[in-house]
Amino acid sequence: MGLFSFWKKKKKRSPQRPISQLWETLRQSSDFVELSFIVGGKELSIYYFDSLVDPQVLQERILCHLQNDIPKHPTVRLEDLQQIVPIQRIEVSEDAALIEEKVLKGFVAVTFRGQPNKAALMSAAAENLGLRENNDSENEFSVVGPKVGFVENVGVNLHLIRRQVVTPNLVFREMSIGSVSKTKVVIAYIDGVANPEVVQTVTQRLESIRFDVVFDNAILDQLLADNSRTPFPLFISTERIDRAVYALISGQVVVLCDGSPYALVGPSAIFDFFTSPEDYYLPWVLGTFFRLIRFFGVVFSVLASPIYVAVLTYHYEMIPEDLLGPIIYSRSNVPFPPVLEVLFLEITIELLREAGARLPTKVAQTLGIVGGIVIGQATVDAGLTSTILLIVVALAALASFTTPIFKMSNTIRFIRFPFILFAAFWGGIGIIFAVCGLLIHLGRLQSFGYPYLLPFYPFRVRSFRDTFIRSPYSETAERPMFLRPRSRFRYDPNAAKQKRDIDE
Amino acid sequence: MRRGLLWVGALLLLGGCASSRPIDEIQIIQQMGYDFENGRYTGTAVYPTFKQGPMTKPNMLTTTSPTIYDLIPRLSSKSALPVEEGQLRLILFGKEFARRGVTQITHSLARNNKVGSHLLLGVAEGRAKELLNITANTTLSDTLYLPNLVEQNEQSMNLPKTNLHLFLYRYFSPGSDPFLPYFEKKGDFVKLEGVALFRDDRYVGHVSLRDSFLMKILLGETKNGVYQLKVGNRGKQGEDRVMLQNLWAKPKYEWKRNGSRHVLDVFVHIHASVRDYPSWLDQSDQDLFADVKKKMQNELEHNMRRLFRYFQKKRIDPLGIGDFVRSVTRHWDSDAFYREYPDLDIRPHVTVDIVHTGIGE
Repeated sequence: MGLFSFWKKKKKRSPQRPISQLWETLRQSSDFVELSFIVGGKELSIYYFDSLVDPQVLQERILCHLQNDIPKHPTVRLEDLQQIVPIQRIEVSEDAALIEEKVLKGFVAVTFRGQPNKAALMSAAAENLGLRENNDSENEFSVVGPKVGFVENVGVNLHLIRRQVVTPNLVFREMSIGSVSKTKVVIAYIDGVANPEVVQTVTQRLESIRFDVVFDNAILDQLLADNSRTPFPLFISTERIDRAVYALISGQVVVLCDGSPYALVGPSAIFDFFTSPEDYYLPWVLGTFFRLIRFFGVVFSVLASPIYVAVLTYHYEMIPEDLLGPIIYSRSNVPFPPVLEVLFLEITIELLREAGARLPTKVAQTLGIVGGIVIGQATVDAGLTSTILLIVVALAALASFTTPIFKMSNTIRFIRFPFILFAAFWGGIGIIFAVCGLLIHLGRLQSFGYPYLLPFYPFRVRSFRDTFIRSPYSETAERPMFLRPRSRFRYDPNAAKQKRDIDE
Repeated sequence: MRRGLLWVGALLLLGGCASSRPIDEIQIIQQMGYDFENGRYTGTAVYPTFKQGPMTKPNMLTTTSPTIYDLIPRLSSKSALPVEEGQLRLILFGKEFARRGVTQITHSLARNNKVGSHLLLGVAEGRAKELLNITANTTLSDTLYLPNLVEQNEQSMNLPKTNLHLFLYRYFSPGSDPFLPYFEKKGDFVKLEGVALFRDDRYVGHVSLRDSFLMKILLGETKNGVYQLKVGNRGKQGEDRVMLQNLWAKPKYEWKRNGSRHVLDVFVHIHASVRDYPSWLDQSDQDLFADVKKKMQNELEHNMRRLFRYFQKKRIDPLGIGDFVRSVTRHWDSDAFYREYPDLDIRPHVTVDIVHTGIGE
């Protein structure tokens, strides 16, 4: 019998069970409050969870009006409470399961003696209690552009999105996921832009999720993924509003989840993980340049240390004559074969990173410096690694940080290790095998049923406008067609291309 | 899952088959010398050691054997680490060795997947071992002295481009003969003396570094090289020469029939800069200048004729004239062509364009 098993049992009962029995169950908890009083000859009972209800709302909006106004309306029924109590969407229900769910979400249930099997439900939830009010989007920082990020409260997040997408076509579809947490999950898309098939897929997958507590969007990410064995993230998760809005207008679907400051964006292709909102805020030439640097960084980060291993172990012929001296000299005191040397250093760096992430920010900074400089220098002095490798590994680690999406940057950290092993066992041809294996794997991946390697595979030339090159806005009026949006253009392409050289 | 384990297992098992050669556990030889003396072959290997710092300290290994193939295994018996030839930059043949033919070495190099085709070859006046000893142990003390010397001269001076690839190309081509840089020992230094010429794989003679400029511009388009020319009267300090710096030169061959005989016209157009010239040679005097240009052209043509005659007399074709004629002749017959070759009328025509003469009026 698990901790929450009492709840499961109840679910199986018929909805016709009397409400009194529900109160009986809820009374077990000490924060459940039951108030009974007589006003104007009517015997009232109100029920709520102290811990979920905002006391101010309860007192000023509910108690106050009930006590003052009921005597003026002696014939009032539960259904008429909306006339008295200034709270939106008062519901009257006989369904014990619904009442239970609402009360557990912070609603106040009001019953009259005369109508024992009905309860009026009024929302008095303290929604923001204990949650962050704002988020500076520090995990996806961008120097240019807005700094506001999503917060844990999904209502605020919806507000933030709707403020920028001012169209009646923006649709939010709400559902509740998690047998225990009953987390509010919202699917957002722009009707008439997003492909209904995608919306259908997302809805279906979300509906079929069976889970207890949804702690974060990251859990939904894994539950929704087309392939759970891949180290690659199949959906972008972002805390930036601009990124989510850009996804919406491109025809992607955004999934928000209460309690998580991250929005999930799908279907995503591999290029989406290497674009940063800053690319769009800088002039397109600079945006393109930095984007290309980022791609180079990824390739370098994955291949640098495997190539070091392969060349030093198998392909000494390929070393340029001017590098031969420095490499051999720096290796001459190292007692390990190159692969152990590389693994040792890579693992050291991963340890530093991991330790830095688990420590408070200020300590982590110190640790980074101490670890980076002191350990690095000491390992070289002790003859455990060569100086050249230290530079290679440090640069590779640095390059892996350039990926804007944290999940992708983790993946890049990870796939380096199989590459190193392949390089150690088979040398250069091993690296080629590993690259081929990686490409095959990527080619088989799908994100909400869409190929992950789009627009590379299948090849879509027109969609390359916003991949390696961040084209100027006169060229990007067309939405990426591989997402099969219902509407082709984001804005008028001809007007965007018009040259205005004379001010009229 | 099972398939994954199978993969990992295969990777580990097959990984054991690969022969790894970690870079610090091999003896990398960068230069090799071959000599023939008293019926025995001598092999000399120069390898760097990196113990004192990134600067190299060249060391030498020498061994003798009655056969060529035995040399590298014998070197191994003197070395603490396995000898690896993958980083070879230069192979030097002693003159005696080269006279007896270098095919045994080049054939094996042509099939060796460890050495690149950019490997340089060279011929040493005297013994290769002596020259390598100078570069390794005396003042120069640099394992890459000779390769750098050759590359520098190819890129900016008179030496035509040579390497293993070009050597093999010219060797196997029926219409040309190979050539290599030619080194001499000068006291404690090694000097590039010119170009060693081969008939098939045998050394037959050499031309000076000055003549190698003519070879260079006759072989194809070039952008470098210098040539000193005599242009007549002596000036006040007895200066009578101009220094011609080649900026861009291109040869053009024309193969003609003249009665029963063939004629080869060679047109060479040199765009040159004249940096140093006698003070009496005044540019503003156009007649004098044209006259000097004429003299330069005549002298170049004269020297070219001399060079052609030398090649014809030796019955060698380092310029690849046979290849050119084959390219314009249907059913070219190598034997017939080279029967005619020594008496072939080769007529050089040189045009010199002086592009600039340094800063002036």
